[in-house]
Amino acid sequence: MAMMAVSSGMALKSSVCVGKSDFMGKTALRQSAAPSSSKTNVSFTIKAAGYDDELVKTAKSIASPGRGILAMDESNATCGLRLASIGLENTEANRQAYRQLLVQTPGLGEYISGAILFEETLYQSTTDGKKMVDVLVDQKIVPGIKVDKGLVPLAGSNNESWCQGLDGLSSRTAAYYKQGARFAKWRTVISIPNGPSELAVQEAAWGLARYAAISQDSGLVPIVEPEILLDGEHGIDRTLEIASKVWAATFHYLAQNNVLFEGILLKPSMVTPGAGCKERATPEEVAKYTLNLLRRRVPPAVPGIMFLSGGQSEVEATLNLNAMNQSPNPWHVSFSYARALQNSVLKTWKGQPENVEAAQKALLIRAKANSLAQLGKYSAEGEAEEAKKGMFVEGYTY
Amino acid sequence: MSIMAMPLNAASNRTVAVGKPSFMGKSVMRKSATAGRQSVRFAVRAAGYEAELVKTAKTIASPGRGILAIDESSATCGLRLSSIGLENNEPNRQLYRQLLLETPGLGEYISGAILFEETLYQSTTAGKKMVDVLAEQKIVAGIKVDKGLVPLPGSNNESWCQGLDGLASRTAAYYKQGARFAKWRTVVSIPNGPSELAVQEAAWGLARYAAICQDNGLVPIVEPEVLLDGAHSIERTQAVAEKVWATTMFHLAQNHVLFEGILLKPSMVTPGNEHGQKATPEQIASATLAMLRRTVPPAVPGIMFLSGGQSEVEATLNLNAMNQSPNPWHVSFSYARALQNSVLKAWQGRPENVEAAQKALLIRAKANSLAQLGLYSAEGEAEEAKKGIGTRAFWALIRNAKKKGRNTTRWKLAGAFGSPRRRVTGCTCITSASLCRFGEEFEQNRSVLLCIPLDSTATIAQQLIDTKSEVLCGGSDRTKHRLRDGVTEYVNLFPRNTSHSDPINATKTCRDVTQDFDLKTCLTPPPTSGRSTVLGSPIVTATATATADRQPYLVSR
Repeated sequence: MAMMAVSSGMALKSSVCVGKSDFMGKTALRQSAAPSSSKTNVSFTIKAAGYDDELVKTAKSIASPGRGILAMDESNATCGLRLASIGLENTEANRQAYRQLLVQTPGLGEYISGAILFEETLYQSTTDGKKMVDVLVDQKIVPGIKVDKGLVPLAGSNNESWCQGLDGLSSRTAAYYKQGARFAKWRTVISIPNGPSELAVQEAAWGLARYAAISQDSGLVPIVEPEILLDGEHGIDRTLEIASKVWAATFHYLAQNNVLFEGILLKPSMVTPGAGCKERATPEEVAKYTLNLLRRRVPPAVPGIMFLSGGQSEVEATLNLNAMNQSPNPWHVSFSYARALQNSVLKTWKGQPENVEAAQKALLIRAKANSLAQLGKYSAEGEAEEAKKGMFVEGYTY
Repeated sequence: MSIMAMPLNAASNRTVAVGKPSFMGKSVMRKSATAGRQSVRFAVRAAGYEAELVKTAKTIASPGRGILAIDESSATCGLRLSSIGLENNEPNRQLYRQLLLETPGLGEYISGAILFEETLYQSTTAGKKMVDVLAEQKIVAGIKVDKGLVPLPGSNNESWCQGLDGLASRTAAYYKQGARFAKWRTVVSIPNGPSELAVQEAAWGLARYAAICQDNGLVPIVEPEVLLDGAHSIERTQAVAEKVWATTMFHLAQNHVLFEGILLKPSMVTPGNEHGQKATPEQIASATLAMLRRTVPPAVPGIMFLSGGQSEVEATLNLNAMNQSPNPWHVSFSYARALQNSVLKAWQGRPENVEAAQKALLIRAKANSLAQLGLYSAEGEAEEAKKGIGTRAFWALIRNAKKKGRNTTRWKLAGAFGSPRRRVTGCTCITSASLCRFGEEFEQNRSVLLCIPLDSTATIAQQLIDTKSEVLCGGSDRTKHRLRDGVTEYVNLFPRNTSHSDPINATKTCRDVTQDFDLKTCLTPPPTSGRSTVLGSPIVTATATATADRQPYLVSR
């Protein structure tokens, strides 16, 4: 059936292609909105614009050149693992001592723009009685807060997990804002050996989108973290495939939830082969694949992409970040490292007060290395052997 | 709740994170794939054309260059030809396209040309294939592959774009003929919602089309046009555009389209054409870039804007404003009318005018090339180029009335026209303030107000009638009924008993009007008595050389 493209009037661009005249007979054309009124029948919900400017400002500040995030939001149980690794008991006092060591590191703010805290730490003070958040603010480091409630099994999936935490999130985030937090973090995971199933990807992306919208409503910049676990024997192409799918879904749902893209940060895993894959990848390959992923999935409105280290060695994580910053990117590409910043620190401290200064120096060394990597100026010469040791733990739980 | 890491079985060194023992009880654990074998595979796309697609897209998106869209269907091309008094037959279409494509040096400003199917298989009068002409000009040949818009059932009178059937073989054949990129235009209407359904259909259709094109070696241009029609604000346009583009990019990803091998053809983010306030190029640039930054990942090499009825100069100014600082993608043009308008007027179908017409094309192409580089300045642009497309339609009405013997000496022209279906740019609404001034003048001069009324301008026309001015109206039966007695003459632009937003008959009528038009007949300018308070430029006589129509006397806010 031949279709005519008809422009109604020379002036028109909107040609309506119509078929035979029987269509034309059905002219139950809706009365067009009166031109003089600006009334529209379907309007999009407008989010409370209360925090928009602040969100944009905070996100930009965290995503500032030469700086990245120190992730120290280990749950008490996980922090216990850290402490146990150097022979310390998992008590609040010890956790306080450790976190205090980190946040009080002199000059930390030169390399660190934000610190993610666990709830306990957000409400804690140092042994001198100074609030942890105040210590951070004095260091020009934005305090952040983990807001998810951990991973639990995902029913109907292939033994996969989902991240809970939406219940009461609105009041929790409001309280955290009051306490001084200005950004939030929510970590969900995707497992390639387990599929991932369509369900798991969907749940991860949707959960992140809902969390992000609620966070922004309460004034917290949401860090969006769907971690694709290192576990598995898959090659780097497979990782890229899955990551592409996960991020497409994530952005789709973020948009549906009317999240302000200029006021979020991303925390992806780098695109690497699985930990069990025989073929390893060079930093250049990791950079190439990862940047391909980002260029294909991340609109430039997003100010910063802060990578997780996910079990890479300290040096590996830094080398890979450096490789990604060899030419300008449309977004700030930086780090949000936990183990890759803390490992040497723990080993140096060993729980002894006399080692605090040395431990803080160790933190600065790692922070500075990653700062240089963010600027694309890092070189691995002179790095200690300890820093090169891999930290992958199969089936790692945070 | 702590999660334990459990080995899958004794022999395996891979673990699966599991929860509490009660969860373990339900160990209907799926046998994990043995090393190297994956249980769920994603479809791997034939990588045959990937490198070529990326290269072609980059070539089209090269600095200082953009796309010349000459893919008007034969029917639409007929409208262009008849606007200069030419018959719509194949030789004329051949002559016209030939004129365009053979323009010497065109390849300096134009990187790609979108053709209609007829042109893709045509040759010049000298027997040279059109695609070869393009290849020699270093212009990539493109082809429109959609099969037009049709009504979308279950929607709010919205449209969808068809063309997926047989698209694979069509695109393969086009590639063989020399095409290297494709185009598919669907539309979204804000006054009609847009409904979730319409947006979804538009985005999904584009994604499927894009995947099929890439499979056959054609770079797909992705074009969901958000129509200008409506009274909505620029904020509303931005919100709708963001939704449309977010959905489109998502479905493109789902269809495994290679982002480095596509081009986008968005409409700029502007207020609706019936919105009270016009936006400056800076405002349009700001809103458009914000929208793109939120929806378009940097892997996409080029964004080639459609002009959608803006005047030639408007389209260029807006593009220029968008290129005042670096963008993560090439931001350029894919213009049809905004490049061809002056060309048609200069050509008039005469062989002796071909060179002048080609020069006119180069002027516009160069202007847009400069705009792509952010270096354009509007000084010196011909008056012609500044006119909105719509005023020409209107001007034809004047000429027609003159033919009927009306004294047009003191005519003044006003229009605020455009319905969701008929989009006419270049005119603004009469406000009550200017109406008062207008009314006084009319009383003194006994001038005639000529307008094409819709609901709003019918009111205005009525008010002017009340001031005892002569009012000449064009419109439909429906709008005529809105006017009380007093209209001096009513020109019915549409056949009886059809809605004024009936596109087919509207077209036919306008065409009839213009075909009656005699270029040599013109309106004489009003006497220079200082009385013509300048609300717009005065009516100027069309000269015997039959160049462009002149700017009618426009009322502006």
